[in-house]
Amino acid sequence: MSGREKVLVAMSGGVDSSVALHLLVEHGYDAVGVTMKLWDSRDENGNLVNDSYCCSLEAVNNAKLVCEAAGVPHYTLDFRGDFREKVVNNFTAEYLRGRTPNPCIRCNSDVRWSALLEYADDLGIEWIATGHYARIDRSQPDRPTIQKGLDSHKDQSYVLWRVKQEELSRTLFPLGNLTKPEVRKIAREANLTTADVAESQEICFVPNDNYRTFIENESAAENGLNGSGKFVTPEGKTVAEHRGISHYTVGQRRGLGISGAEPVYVQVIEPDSGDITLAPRRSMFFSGCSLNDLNWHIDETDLDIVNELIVLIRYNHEGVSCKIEWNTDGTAEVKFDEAQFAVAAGQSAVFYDGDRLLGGGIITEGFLNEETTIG
Amino acid sequence: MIYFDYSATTPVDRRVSELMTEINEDVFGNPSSVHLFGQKARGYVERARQQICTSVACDPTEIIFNGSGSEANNIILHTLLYGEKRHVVLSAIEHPSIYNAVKELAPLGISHTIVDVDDTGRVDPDEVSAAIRDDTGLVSIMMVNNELGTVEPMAEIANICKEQKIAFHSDGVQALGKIPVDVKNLGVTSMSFAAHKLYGPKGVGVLYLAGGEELHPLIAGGSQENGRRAGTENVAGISGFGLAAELAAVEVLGEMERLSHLRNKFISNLQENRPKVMINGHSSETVPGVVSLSIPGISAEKLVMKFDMDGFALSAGAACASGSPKPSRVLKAIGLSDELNRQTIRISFGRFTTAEEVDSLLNALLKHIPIAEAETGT
Repeated sequence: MSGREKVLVAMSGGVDSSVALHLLVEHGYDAVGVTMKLWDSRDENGNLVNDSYCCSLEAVNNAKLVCEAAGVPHYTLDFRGDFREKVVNNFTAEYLRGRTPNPCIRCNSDVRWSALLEYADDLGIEWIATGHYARIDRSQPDRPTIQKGLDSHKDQSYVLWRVKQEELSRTLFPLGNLTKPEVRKIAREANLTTADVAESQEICFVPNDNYRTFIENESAAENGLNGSGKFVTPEGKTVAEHRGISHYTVGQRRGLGISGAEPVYVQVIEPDSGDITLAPRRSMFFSGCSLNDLNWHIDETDLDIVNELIVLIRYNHEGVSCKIEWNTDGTAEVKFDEAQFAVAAGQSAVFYDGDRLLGGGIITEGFLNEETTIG
Repeated sequence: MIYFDYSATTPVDRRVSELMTEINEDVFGNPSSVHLFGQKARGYVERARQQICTSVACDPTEIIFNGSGSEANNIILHTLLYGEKRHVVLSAIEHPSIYNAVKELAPLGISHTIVDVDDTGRVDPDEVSAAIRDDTGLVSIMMVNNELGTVEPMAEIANICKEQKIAFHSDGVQALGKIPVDVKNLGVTSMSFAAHKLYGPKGVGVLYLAGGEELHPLIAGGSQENGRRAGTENVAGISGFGLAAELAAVEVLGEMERLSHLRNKFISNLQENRPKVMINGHSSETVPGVVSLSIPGISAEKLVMKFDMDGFALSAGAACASGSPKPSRVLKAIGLSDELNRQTIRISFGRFTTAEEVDSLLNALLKHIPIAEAETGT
């Protein structure tokens, strides 16, 4: 066997992971491609239930083609059981509790990284790699940290905060210094069969991006729960019946079926009573939030020496300067320097110092701003 | 890279590929054409038919060339739709082209009863007998199981079917070339074969159907294969199958002896050094080249991946199109727990397997399978 460093590359069948593999091979790594089968796009009778490229036979075969052309082995790993249990069931349960989950984050931390490392260990492979747009700073070899991808439009560091630091030490992100157009260009120049595969849809397992129908089908199969209840005003006055809390997310304006002089938004979802408070935009600002389930890539004491602590409260959020206060039970509270629109429980608050990802937590509750005069 | 997956498919024998290349280059005629080009192509097809007849001991009119073993199985099931008796008796370890195809036909009125197998993968003929109903039109039991190598009690099942005047179909894909197949002696009504399991090309199947038996084409159209399978013949593939069958018939007895020896030596060496390793299947009623191994504590999926990277091609369960291992239905049927199911690999030897190759595989396995604590003390 060769003395080259080995790397296990997670291949979705898309252009990003294909280029990741291509670059690693070009750089002399001994690569092995794997595609994790997480979800079925067809039911037991072979009928299409989710017209998604992700995890489809076409995607797997494209990954195989890319690997075959690069002269590296490819294997398909069946993780449907784990994904269903740890990601999909959690997704449904969270919505039924009136929260807004981010399944990609959970998939990375609870399924993908552990699975890839397990296979890498058993196959005697040092490294794992994915096609995420993020970088890893290894200037402190025992404390690697994630840096935002160089392409600010594509940066995917946000979905990686729950990955454990010790897992990062064996992770490679070959696309971190590239922009999406550069990746496409590399793919075309290398004649990769996936060069023009379309961007994947929002949530890989939800057909047509319609998560509400998905939750309805899932929860009907479970126990018929839909959390029906009332729309109320901030003063507690009932406005109308709603379709069940899983149909709504904090900050939502469309599809409420409410007409009035002033547009209203979902401000708070109360899973116990089923009440959903609707409020005008000026009342939609939050001064902070509470967090649990925290994960840090730096020592908590190092938080004091960061230049500027910025938190992102959802994917593609521009970020806001903030302060953290710790509770004795390991949870935390965040105070934004400037009130933020629509803070949804279940979403991830991810902390940065410049491009460096410091850590994150799951939002348990947003604190409505006392002086709701903005906007 | 050493190949130990002859049950999945076999390399094409050089003699076969040379013949096929010659045909591809020189014989392009349509066998149905009147002119010389057609005549020449027809000659190749009919010569192949005779070669296959000689190898399985039947009449040329009883051979229907088609696209695969799966197609041959489907043709037989499909024909039931045209008869009164629409119930099928099959075993729990049939190939998907019987097992799933029967289910596919359920909405069209085909019913079925699945007969269990014992822990060696053998069907109990009495259970076949008990499963037969007034409306049973077909008993379908494979001759050799693809995952275990177990040979089914063909004569007993054939007798039962003969007594009850029920058609007996047998999937012979894993038998032809590995053990002698004489369709008249076996007493089957029909049998399916595939060229690629005996050093022939992929994409060519044969259905043997005893003379006088009714058949409805699954693929209707032209009058090829006596109107029983439409479509211009795959002349090179059919010729390749013919020669492959002829070669296999000549070599089968010698190969059986050679492969049995390799298999027995491999198993005894492995079990001597790693007593926890279990061999699945039947000790004597088996084809000589197939070894199904359960290795407690070892993931079959990862073993197959690791060995692939190290230069040994093996399989976990049967080869499957998606390339993603699911627990095997066959291993479940012989009573393996889900856990052991996922710890089971299949090694299959064939014409080009050498004693040195088997030794290197044995050494690699011994290196991979740790010596259990209880074993080191003795």
